[in-house]
Amino acid sequence: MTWVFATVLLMAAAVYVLWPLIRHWEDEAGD
Amino acid sequence: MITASLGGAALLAGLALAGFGAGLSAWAGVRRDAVLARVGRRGLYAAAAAVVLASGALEWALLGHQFELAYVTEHTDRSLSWPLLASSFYGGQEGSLLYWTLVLTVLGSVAVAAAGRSGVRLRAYATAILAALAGFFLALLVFVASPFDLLEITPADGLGLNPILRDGGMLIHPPFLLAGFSSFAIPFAFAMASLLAGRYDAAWMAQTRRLALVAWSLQTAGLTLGMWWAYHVLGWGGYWGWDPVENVALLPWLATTAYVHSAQVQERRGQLKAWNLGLVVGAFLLAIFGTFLVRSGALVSVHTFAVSDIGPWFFGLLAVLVAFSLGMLAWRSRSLRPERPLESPASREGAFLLQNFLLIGLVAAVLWGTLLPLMSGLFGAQRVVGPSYYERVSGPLFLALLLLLAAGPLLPWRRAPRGWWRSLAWPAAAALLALAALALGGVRGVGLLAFPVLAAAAVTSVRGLRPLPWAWRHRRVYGAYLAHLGVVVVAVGIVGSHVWQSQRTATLAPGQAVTVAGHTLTFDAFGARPGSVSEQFVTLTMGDETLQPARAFYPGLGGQAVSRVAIRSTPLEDVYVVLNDAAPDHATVTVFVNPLVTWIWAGAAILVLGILLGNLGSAVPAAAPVRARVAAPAT
Repeated sequence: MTWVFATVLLMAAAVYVLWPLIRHWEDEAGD
Repeated sequence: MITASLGGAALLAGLALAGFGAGLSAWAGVRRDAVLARVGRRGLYAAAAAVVLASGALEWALLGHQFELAYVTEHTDRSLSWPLLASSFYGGQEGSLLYWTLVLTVLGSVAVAAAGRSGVRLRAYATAILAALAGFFLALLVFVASPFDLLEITPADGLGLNPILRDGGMLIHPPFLLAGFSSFAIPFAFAMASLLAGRYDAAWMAQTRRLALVAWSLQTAGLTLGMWWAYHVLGWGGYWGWDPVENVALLPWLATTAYVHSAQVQERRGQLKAWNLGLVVGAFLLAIFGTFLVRSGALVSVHTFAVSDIGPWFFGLLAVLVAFSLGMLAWRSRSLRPERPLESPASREGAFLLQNFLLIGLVAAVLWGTLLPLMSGLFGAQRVVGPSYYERVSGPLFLALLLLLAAGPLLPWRRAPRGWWRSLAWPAAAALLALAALALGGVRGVGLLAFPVLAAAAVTSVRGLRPLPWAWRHRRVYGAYLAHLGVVVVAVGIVGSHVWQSQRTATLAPGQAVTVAGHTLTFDAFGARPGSVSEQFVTLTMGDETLQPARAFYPGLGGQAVSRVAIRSTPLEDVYVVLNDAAPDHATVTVFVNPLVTWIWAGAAILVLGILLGNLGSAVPAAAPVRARVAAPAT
């Protein structure tokens, strides 16, 4: 159960943490 | 079960996020990459959110009596009120570590978020160091001391909280003190980041100084609340016993006190750069060292409930931090040379330097006394020093510091002009007046020496405010003088209670009385309250007033007994009564009359208020002084 919760939390956090990088790559692809 | 899984998962996720944040931020600092730095910062923020979630899970388990968690069983029972249940969060080893991590990640995130003007590299390196430190604590919480470990069999009730901790002080003293300890990491992280990034300018200085002041304020409040708690709970008539745990909490506070003053010399004159960095680093290392001493059980103390097997981990962290800090300081030593030499010792910067030496002397003396049992034990018979050692050594140093408090703020920067000593006329007059009054009043000894110095320091602090019109931009000057005034008020309380304390122990039959320092207390009645925590109490009358000291017994905890002190406080003195033994036909009580103790609590409040007032708003260095002699002493 602990590992399931940890995976869900990390997946949710990954979206928030990596968002600036995703936007940056999007901007680069747009150029 | 779900709470434990969620809490454990949050700690695991926090560890992964802190590790990711530390690595990526360090890489972003090397590459000067703003996008990667932003991702790294978000790693720290997300780790902080995970720690908040884990803390919420632990609180939920404590308040819900979830005794399947070992931590809940070991530190609570069903008889505890909900505020004490909530405060059991930091009542044990694992919970207090989680609290450390909570403060570190949340305050660290706030500091990093507010450091937008620091530049990409410095901010990224500071994030990396804070996230790495958070990673260390999270690794301890996941692998060594988890508050979410489960018991194989769930008991019907818990073992309960340590009786000494069952007090209102539990709600405020540990959170402030632990927060103070933890927050010394933040100025340390920014100081190390400045070395890594090669930036030592005034803007960095102002920011680090404010972060150090946050830690210093928290520690000031924590130390004072600890003194207040010891005074009200431990029942020995005093508030500071030079216990190792008290000492190790004082050490980083003294180092940071030196820093918040010497930082001004760097801001104004570009001097003491390496010294200032050393003080910030030293304060944090002393905090970690203190935690190691307390948690390892290396020293015997009244805080033995904090002992566990995580001491070696803190020793390892300390070794890494010392090596890292010394390496960084050595690497950047050339850049840390002063921009200009000290022009004259008779100057504001000279006074700050002398004050720093005195404070570091205090650190060395207290550290020596604290470590002596440990060091001497390595080479033979263990030697221990008592309060008399600390008082003999620290008394003259504190007195010299108070003299500087009276004279230092009157010195101008660079060099004192001819005849500057005339500005000492008012404090000197106050000192002479106090000396004459005390001598005529029959006061001798330490009081005759200390109170005139305090009178001079009070006059300098009050007069410092006088020529300045009230304006928001002068808040740092006002805050500084207010803080100095707070120190004077605290010192009056300490000297007064130390010099004039009276004490007497007496066994009384009903109707008999004991007189101490003019106060007569008569034993009126004996009483008992049965219950899961039984209590014996006696009623004593003192004029129109009634005092009721008691002893509480905890049968569920092996019959442990704690004293419930009765205190009658006025601004001039406390009558403090401890019940040693009682039965219907007799009561043995110790009565203390402690003069001026309330001044300590009031002075500490003024001190913290001054620090807060001086540092609200932007981190711009203090405005130029109206006249040299009213410039900010320090904030």
